[in-house]
Amino acid sequence: MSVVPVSAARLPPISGAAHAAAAELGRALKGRISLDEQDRLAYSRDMWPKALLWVREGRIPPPPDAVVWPRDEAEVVEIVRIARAHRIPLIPFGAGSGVCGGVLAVQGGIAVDLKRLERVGRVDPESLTVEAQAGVLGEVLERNLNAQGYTLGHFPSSIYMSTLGGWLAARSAGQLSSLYGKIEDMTVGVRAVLGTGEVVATPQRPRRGPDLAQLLIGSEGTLCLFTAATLRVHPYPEERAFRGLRFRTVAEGVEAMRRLFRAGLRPAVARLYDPFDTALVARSRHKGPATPPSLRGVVRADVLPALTRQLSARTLGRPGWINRAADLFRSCLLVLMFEGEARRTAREEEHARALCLRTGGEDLGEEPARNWYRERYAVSYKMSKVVDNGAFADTMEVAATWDKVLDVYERVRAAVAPVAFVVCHFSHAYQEGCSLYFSFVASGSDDVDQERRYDQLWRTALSAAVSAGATVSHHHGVGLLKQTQLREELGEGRRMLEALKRACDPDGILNPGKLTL
Amino acid sequence: MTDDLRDALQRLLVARFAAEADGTITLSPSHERELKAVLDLFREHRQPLPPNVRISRARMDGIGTIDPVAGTVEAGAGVPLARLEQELRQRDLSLGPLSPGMLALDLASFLEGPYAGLRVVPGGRLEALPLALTALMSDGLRFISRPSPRSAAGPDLDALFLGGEGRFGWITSATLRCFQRPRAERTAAYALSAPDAALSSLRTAVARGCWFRRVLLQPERDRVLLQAEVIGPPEGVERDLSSLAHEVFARGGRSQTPVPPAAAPALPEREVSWDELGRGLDEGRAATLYRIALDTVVVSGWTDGGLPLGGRGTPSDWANRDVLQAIAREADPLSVFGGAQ
Amino acid sequence: MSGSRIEQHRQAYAYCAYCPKICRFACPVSDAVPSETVSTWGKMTEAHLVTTQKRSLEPGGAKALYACTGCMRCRTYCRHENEVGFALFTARQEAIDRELAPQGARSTVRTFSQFGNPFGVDLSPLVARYRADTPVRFQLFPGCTTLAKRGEVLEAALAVGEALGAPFGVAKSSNRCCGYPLYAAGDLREFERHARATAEALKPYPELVVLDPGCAYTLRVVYPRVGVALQTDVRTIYEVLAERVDHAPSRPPMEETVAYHDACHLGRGLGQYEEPRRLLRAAVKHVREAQEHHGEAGCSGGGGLLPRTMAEASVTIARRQAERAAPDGETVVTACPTSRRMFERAGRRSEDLLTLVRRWINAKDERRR
Ligand SMILES: Cc1cc2nc3c(=O)[nH]c(=O)nc-3n(C[C@H](O)[C@H](O)[C@H](O)COP(=O)(O)OP(=O)(O)OC[C@H]3O[C@@H](n4cnc5c(N)ncnc54)[C@H](O)[C@@H]3O)c2cc1C
Ligand code: SF4
Ligand code: SF4
Repeated sequence: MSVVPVSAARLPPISGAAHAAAAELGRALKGRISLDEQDRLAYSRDMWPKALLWVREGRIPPPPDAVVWPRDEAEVVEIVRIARAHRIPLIPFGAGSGVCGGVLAVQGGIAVDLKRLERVGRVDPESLTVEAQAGVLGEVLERNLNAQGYTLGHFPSSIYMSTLGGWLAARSAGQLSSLYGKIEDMTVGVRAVLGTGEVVATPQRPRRGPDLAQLLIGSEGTLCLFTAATLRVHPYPEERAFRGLRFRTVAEGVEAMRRLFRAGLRPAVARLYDPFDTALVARSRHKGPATPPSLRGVVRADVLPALTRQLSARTLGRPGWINRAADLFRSCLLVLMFEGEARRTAREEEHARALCLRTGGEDLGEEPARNWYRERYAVSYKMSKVVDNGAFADTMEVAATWDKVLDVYERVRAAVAPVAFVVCHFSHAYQEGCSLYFSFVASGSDDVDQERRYDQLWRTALSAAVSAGATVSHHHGVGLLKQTQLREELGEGRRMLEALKRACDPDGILNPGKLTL
Repeated sequence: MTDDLRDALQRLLVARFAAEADGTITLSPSHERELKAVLDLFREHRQPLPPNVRISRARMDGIGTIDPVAGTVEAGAGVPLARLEQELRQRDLSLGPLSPGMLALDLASFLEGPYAGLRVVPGGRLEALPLALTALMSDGLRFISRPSPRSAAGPDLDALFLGGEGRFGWITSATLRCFQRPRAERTAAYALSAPDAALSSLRTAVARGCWFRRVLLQPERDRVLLQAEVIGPPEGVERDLSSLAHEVFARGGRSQTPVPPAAAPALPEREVSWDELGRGLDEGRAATLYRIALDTVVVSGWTDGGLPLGGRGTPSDWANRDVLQAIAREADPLSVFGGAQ
Repeated sequence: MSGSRIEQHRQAYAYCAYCPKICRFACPVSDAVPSETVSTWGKMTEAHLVTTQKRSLEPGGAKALYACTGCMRCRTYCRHENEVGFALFTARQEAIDRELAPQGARSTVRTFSQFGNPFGVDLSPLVARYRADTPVRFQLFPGCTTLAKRGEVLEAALAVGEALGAPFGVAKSSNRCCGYPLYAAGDLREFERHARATAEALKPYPELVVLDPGCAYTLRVVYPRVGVALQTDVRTIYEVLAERVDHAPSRPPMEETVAYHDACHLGRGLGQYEEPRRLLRAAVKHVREAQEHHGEAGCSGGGGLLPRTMAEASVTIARRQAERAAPDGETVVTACPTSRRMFERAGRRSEDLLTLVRRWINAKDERRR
């Protein structure tokens, strides 16, 4: 679906249906509703990089007509009832950190900010579970658990600016997912309000029948509004063990990762960075017009130095490192971190190291991994600079089984090379495969060209990944961005998704225009 | 079933159409296309599957590609798990520590029935055995999920079929996740003063990553015996035993000499919560545990409590019944699969 | 909207507008009023759009610009080290000039222009009341809040100084407000004028000991930002007293449990985390360290004129901070008079560090007697 941005100077008028619903909503929520331009503007976008291109030009995605802030589940039920009566869309809103346009009000409607549902309960030390409301911000939740002596083990790079509800809605993954799993793995049960207004609570096992929680998790606001979840927690780790290893090639590094997981080792983190690919510039010189002059300029002047800084921070973090950069660009760095019970952590790390050395790795000591850990959220800050410099950046996270990982890697790089500068790391590894996380940086001659290039980039990159056997998303979700490829991935099975939609949201009021629904 | 439909089915399946004297009809299509043709006939005749008609997927028992790189295997819905496990072991792979009750099933029954296709992975999480599924939906179209270790491409639609008793569609084949074949197995035994101590040692050890094939708990007058069979790679087994011992000793337990385990008879199995297990031990009931997860355990031989894992249920037993039934009605409007009833 | 002041922040506005809201959880305002509009990102996006003329300022936008206490907590998590408070206060000028600023800000500017302080009182008699009759080693600048509203803190400061061998005398020129209210209101033109005049008035003092961390921060950090170089060496009273805490006759700390709140201006603003703690640990036996402390410490909601522009939100912020800093209902001790007022308005027990230290000293005296 193509979205037409609007001018930030003048927002489109509020729909009649929204006006009609507003009075009722205002009463139900004791005034916690706003039709102010300022609020509509703030709720018009998430962190979809394409919207950033618009903002740079003074445009924004189509805003919602209104924003509401329910305080409890009963109020959410009321909101749904009123929206159904007025046939007006509701767009569940966490913290707006999604990167695929999931909260864009493509058909207008009311943004439902759930952050007032923020209570976190006490951890049950026996079952090691905790109940938390869906609007709590990730970092607030984690700190609360830490104060009780536990961790959730869910550390998305966006932990500072995303909510539990958003994690559930987009099937989020944290950086330590290899050990703790993704959000769907750590969720014991959910509470949600369906588009029918019905409140559902999925019980803990043992229970019969399909797991409704797994059908709602990942629904990106199209089936329900999450209000709370019961989550599995873990004692705060006693110890962490770090290791950095260098491999001569990506293939060797991926093979080492694969063997680690196939051997049953459970690092919290296993991240392999591909060589810093300066070849794009060189290749574009040889091949002529593949990279337009404007991009070449940006790559040389901004992107390369920026990425060099980024990589230096990420990898060794020592000042002298940059001088040896050329060497590292040819090889790959694998970062390993184990955490948990002291006695196991050290032993697992030892086994992992031995296995990596047998697979051709070179031991770089603890520092590269420690440095990664210290800097683990740092990369998110790069976005502002890139955009302010007139370029754009985005990331694509797909996943595939081990047998397909290298193929996906090669195909995406080949497809994207003419359009953008691309680097990749392999992370979120499991016994059967891992996620490939591509970062793209590109530019264009002007804003129109950039937007065109942005669309082209996504089309080619995602098609290449999917045709090589990857799933369209490992943890960012689909939003508006990946709907075409989702449709392909689902094939005839999309009927099941439609059946879910009709059953959970018969009037189609929940986040219309997303997930192909 | 109308005579027209009966004739059509007979023409289609020939010898694979078997009618018993008591009126039971068993249809045994050999492959997915044939199953689709069967379902198409029911749909064309606008008839649901009657209770006396059983569709067996026993013939759909092929074992497809075994991929040692990803550690996956493609298997037909009718493959008996015991046979599959045997084949996998020859390729140095395994489905993991399944219970006798699970191993007695074919793949479809394990996935669609009350076991819901769940196995336990190190760390104590329950995880679906299939990485991806192929199923026939009520309109005869194919549901095919993509084999990926994890995905955020919308809801996990496989969940409709796992534990779904075939009400949303029929699984025809699946790509399954395999472990490396456990190369070591050791048994350790301990005595602890009370059921609480035994269970919390065990549960903590599971959370730490210990991987058990089976655990026996035997309450005695003033103590509880805990005997654990730990599996995995040799170094993993050492680690796990050391973790378990640490937890047991921290709770005042002592080592015992393991008793050679008797060959396990295939007894009925039930999925029970840890609380319920604790109550059972308090009442002096011994328990043989499988699929020891942080959520629940599978107990062999208990005749009450928890969720019986044998046989099949109906949607009326389901948790979140109303919503799931509404979905079933949408997914199968003609009620070919028995729909929501 | 243009001018060099705005230009100075152009990059900060843009970086925040393009930023994935990284400091989202840290902002006390959007923590208390969970709206994206008043998140650091939301406020700075508004400033960005307005200052780049992509949007004209309207009352709603102006309100957002005022939804900031200037606590600098976002900076702790910002790799760009954006000074969001400063940037937003600067952007408020447009709201002042176009009379779009919230009522509380406008009235503050009005009162200030009349009285030279936000309380609408003449501070000189108050200063005169506390002036020492003989020359003293340390010239004290209590700040107008303490003078006008917290006489007991000033008295405690004088007594503690005496006991620790740091005799204070209230400086004559402390009848001036440092100008922070003008800065926070966004009238930076007036603020600059006031700062110049204050710098001139303080010229006779080579060194000034400042009681209110907000004033110390303003004099030391904010004045240079508007091009006013103070010739006076500004130190906080906590620096001076902490250096002398060993001079206090040794005696055990009081058998009490208190929680400590790092005041934003003292901590993040001036980097003084240990000085107040040294005093506190000397005076009290059990000091509860909040889960979030030092650079990560929460805000009491009292800065940036928030109590006047978003009164309810500012009290919510104080309540939430007190709950986090003192989850078991302990008294919240702080070195900032404004924070103390905020905690009390939120219905929590709070005590100034200086009055607490004075109690300790008095308790000692009583024991000796
Ligand atoms: C710099 C950066 C780094 C990131 N890193 C990661 C990462 O490491 N791992 C990761 O998984 N993601 C990451 N993300 C993506 C993003 O943070 C996640 O998608 C997150 O789950 C979104 O949460 P949110 O609360 O911000 O949701 P929003 O962006 O507000 O919403 C996302 C979707 O969920 C829906 N939704 C939100 N709340 C609810 C609710 N309560 N009920 C129903 N639907 C709801 C919305 O309608 C929307 O469709 C990153 C994003 C950024 C900007
Ligand atoms: S202050 Fe820094 S971290 Fe916060 S929104 Fe602005 S740029 Fe992002
Ligand atoms: S300075 Fe404080 S109040 Fe202002 S935006 Fe930053 S964190 Fe929020």
